[in-house]
Amino acid sequence: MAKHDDTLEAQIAQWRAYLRRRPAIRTADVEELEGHLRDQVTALVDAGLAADEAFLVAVKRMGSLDAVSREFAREHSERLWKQLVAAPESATDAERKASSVEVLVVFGLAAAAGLAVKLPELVGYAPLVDVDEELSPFYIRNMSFFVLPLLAAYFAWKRRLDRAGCVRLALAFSVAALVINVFPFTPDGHTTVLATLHLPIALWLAVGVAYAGGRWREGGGRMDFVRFSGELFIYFVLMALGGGVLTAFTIGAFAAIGADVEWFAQQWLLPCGAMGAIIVGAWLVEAKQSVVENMAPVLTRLFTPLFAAVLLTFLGTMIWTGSGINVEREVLIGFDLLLAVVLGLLLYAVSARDPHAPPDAFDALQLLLVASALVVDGVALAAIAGRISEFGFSPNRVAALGENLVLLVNLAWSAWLYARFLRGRGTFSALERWQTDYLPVYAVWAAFVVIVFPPLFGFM
Amino acid sequence: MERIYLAHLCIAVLCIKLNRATDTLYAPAPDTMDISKDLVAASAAPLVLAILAEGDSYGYAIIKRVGELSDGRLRWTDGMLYPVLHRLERLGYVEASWATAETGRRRRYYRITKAGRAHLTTQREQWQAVDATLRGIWRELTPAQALG
Repeated sequence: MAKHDDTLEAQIAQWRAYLRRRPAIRTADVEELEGHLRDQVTALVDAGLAADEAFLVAVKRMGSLDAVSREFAREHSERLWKQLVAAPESATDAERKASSVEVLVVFGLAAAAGLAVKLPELVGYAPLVDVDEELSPFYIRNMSFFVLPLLAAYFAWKRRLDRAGCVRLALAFSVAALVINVFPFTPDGHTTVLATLHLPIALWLAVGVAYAGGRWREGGGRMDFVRFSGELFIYFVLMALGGGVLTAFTIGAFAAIGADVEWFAQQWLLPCGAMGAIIVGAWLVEAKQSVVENMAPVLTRLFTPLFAAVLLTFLGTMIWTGSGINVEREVLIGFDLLLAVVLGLLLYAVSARDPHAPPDAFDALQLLLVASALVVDGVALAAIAGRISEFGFSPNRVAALGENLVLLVNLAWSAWLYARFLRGRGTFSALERWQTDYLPVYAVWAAFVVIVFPPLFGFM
Repeated sequence: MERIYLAHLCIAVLCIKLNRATDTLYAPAPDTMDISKDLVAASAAPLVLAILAEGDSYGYAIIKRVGELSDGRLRWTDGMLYPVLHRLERLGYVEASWATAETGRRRRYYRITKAGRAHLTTQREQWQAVDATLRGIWRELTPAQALG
């Protein structure tokens, strides 16, 4: 009898799994239907049927799952539009309780981030904006520290990071805070600007370690962090748009009754909102990763052909007209950004691809994009090398050159791996592994710029 | 038996009031009388509401009660009952709540609301009007006329 029960349970579990895949049928509905099925089976067994016979009859009477789910969809059409409700309809009370605790933690952390960004000003340590109505140097330097440690803390809490991991994270943030505040930076100095720009990149890796929990050493954990970063960026942009609309209405509505609240929008709404939005965005990505279609890969698909077309046309025009690159001050940074965009397109295409699928036209397009970016960059580098040999090294030039090198190495090796994969000599996983293995390089380079550059160039 | 045929004839009138969600409730078991799909659909809501008016119940018990009431002639596809129940819930005719059954599993119990009872009353009046009309003509129609 026990054996029969096991078989029955397995059959019911399988049926339940089929039902769960229907988007129109919620977890609670599955439970309700399963209860019905079990009642029916029990009744049939009591009437003398064997358990497996009873199961078959009960399933038959339940009707075709397609038809049932169609009816559910008709009644609950909104379910096909995947809902962004705060707490998903989860089956157990424990899950519901856990998710409401998480909501409290998230909004607590978001409020803490909003408060943190105001604190130095409120205690009179440094003003948020200086007399020129621009962010004061203290705030520019420390912007990362108002939210990133809290974000890391959220993930450390969520992933139940062990004590050693927490200590390492705290150490990393402390060292970074110390360096950026103790170094005798000159305001508006080249190394100051560089350190300010590179600090968030280095710290983002610390967030990644917290995000991945114990899985940072695995490619999968790192790739999840890449996906997370892309989705968070998109959520943040969307929230920023919403925040802009809110701000405009606030200012406009109060202006209509003769009250000027622009100071409030600038001093409170914008800074606190931006900090809080990062935490809330991270939580949304966490909670909704299965609900919402991942957007970053979709955008990648859209823009890969467009970028490839632009780069190829650019190359063609350059060859046709025979004009070289006009080496201006900003050109090197421009080409760094180009490589970063191409790398982003590559990375998000890789993140969403099934590694076991055979090569297709999109892969060829991707390789074309990477190759044309490499050629364009090679031309630019040659032009810039001349300039450096003429004018010598400056922190900006070295930083830009270093970035270019870091990106170039990645893209060149990616192109090689991609070509191998397209010719059937390598696997796609090799490319994926290369990308995830390479992630720390960006952070190490960024940390290098923050920590070594200022003393190296005499804090100029 | 006669009532079923009666109602069969008036289906055109009722179709207008049908909610499509109940269409596919209909799935005759081979050994039962072939009751038309539209008819099953039309009767589903009043039948469920009437059963709930007898007392709170849950899906499986409602299906069982329908079987008893119709002597097994009215067979629903079990899974289709739930979208109907959910529709009635959305319309505010029934309320649902989870409770632990004697089996130890959670079960969703349905209870008819005041609005549901009011709706049932109007439904009942309409069905009775249709039924009375058909009974009238049934009585006057001789078997020879009916068969043509």
